[in-house]
Amino acid sequence: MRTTVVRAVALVSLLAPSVVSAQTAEAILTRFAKTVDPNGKAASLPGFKSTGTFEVPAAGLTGQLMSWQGQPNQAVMTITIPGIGDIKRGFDGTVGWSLDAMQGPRVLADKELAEMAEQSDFAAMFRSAGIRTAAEIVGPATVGGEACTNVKITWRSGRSTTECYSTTTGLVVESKSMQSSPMGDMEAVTRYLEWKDVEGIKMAVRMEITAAGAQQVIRLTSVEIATAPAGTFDLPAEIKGLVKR
Amino acid sequence: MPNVPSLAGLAVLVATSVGSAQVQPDLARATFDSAWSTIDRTYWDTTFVRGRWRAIHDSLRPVAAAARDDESLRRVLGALVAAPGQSHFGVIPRELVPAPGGGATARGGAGIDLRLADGRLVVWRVDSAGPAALAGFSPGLEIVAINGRSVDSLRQSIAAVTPDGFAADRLVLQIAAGRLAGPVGDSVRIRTAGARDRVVYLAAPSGQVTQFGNLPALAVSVTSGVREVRAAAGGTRRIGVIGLTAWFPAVARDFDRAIDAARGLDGIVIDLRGNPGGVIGMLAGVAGHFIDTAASLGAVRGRQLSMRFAVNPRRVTLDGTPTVPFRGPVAILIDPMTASTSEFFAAGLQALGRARVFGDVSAGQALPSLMLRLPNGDVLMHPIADHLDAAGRRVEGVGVRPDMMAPLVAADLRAGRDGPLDAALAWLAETAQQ
Repeated sequence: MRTTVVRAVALVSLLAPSVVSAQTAEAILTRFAKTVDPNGKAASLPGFKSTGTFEVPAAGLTGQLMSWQGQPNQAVMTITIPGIGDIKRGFDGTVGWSLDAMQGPRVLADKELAEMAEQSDFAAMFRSAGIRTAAEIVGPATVGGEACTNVKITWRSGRSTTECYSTTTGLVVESKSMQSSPMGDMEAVTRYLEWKDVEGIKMAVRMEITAAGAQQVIRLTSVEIATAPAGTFDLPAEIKGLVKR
Repeated sequence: MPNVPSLAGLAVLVATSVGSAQVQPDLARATFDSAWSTIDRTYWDTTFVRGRWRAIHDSLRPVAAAARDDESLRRVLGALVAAPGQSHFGVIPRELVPAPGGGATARGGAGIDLRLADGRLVVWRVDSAGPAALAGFSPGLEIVAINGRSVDSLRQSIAAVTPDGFAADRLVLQIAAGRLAGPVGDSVRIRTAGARDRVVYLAAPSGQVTQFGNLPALAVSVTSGVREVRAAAGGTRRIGVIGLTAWFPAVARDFDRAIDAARGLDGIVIDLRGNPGGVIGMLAGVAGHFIDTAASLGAVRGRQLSMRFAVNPRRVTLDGTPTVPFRGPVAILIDPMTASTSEFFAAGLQALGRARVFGDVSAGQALPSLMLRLPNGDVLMHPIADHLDAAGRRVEGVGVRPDMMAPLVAADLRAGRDGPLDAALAWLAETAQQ
């Protein structure tokens, strides 16, 4: 669950109205980047703070979500669900971790760490060329009634995602990927359903994620460009204890 | 992975004493359709779904459409979810599962747990501060009737439709437990052998009340203590005894604290008797207190779900101090009311050779499930995957077989002895290195 959620938040995307011919995968991704960041502000953004709700309707679970993302590749997210407590996950630029009462503290490793590092990277949000190694068009598709083009992206870590980009807006409509976890790899499908303008940048604020047979819904009620307070990305004490080993 | 619960016996335990409001035909149909289509889409046994599920729909849907009140609709839904013949199917009345923020409270109880011993329904445990204790109940007493309904007739009626004696016994226990639960302040009449009815007023259960998603609120707790046991070779072994009443995150930290306190002891007993299961996500963290690798306790496989229960080795204490998982011998206590996530845990550690299991065969209700709110507000509990333990064994319908069988004996209970615990302590005393 947490992997998927972090992914959804980390891949929060940006929108601006531009229309570019999408003849190649690179053209589609370039159009996406220009669409989400028309003024080239990405490199100067200090970070994002997002708050909202998180739901698993099939289990009746509803909670509050808060996340911070900082340049160039730091992230931390807390989901608070009654009956469960806080589910936290983060990446401080070096260490990827998760912490909740159910599973205890965990330092991510191998593929899971590589994915976390990549998903926390601002460059991934904008599909920058430096963070991916290949992109190819898979073919046309229709997702939720919207015509789009599937593009398979191979990321620097070696993982790949297949993302469908709207032929109308240039935005990503759906993303499919295999998520690594100690429980095994599992497919996650993220639908991007609603977008919002944030200081000239538009971000996805409603997402539905289907993974492990259940749907998760994220609604961001507030997204702001902001600098994370000092210590936001510091490792929790239990994670520090694990890292010390 | 969604934090799916695996909590057995719930439908039986809670499907008592709720109201029966009128229901409109459209709502009855929509509720039935939602339940049927959810199972059609998610039930892991596709042979069953493709073979019989449509015919079951066609026979029951008209009955659902004709239902005019909750009771009759729930009867149809009950027949629907009984058809697959697996655990973790149930319909939980909405009265017992208010929407989030709806002020859920745990059902009241008599402060008494029942078990079968020597073929009789007897008092097993009594909450010393609960209403049954005040009414003079003590372990080992035989229960012959609850609210005027004979236990013998209950057993006979169940036996008539449940040829599997083990399953029938478990059902007797679950139904009896259900009859001892209800709104706080309600009363139950309990008759013991050779005595008259005694009235017990149901009270709030002890423990921390918690609600997980669409499950009813439950009182959960972690208990811990230390027993000193003499070893045959001489000397005394100090054994931690940690009880977990259900696998709910609200008490996960309490369990961690109990483990932190037990790290210096010679052995640990994990008492899962009566534990009906809970949130599967807790397996990784709890098992990680005893296993120092990312070993698998087992796996689940469904139409949209395939994963293994990997252990998360607990190499740090709650305050952040590096440590190692407990390395001493571990015993697990189970009984016929140990179910679901508890069975995943016991079977997993048993298969890995990390724990020795004592007690009686567990419930054999071991499937991960989800709880969907239906259009009429009731909650559909439905399994979404099959489960195999670390040795590739199926636990559903079979249960976990203890390494050492130690069934309850009524005379032991009357004498204040706990036979299964004593057996585990004796083994630990001989096994533990001082």
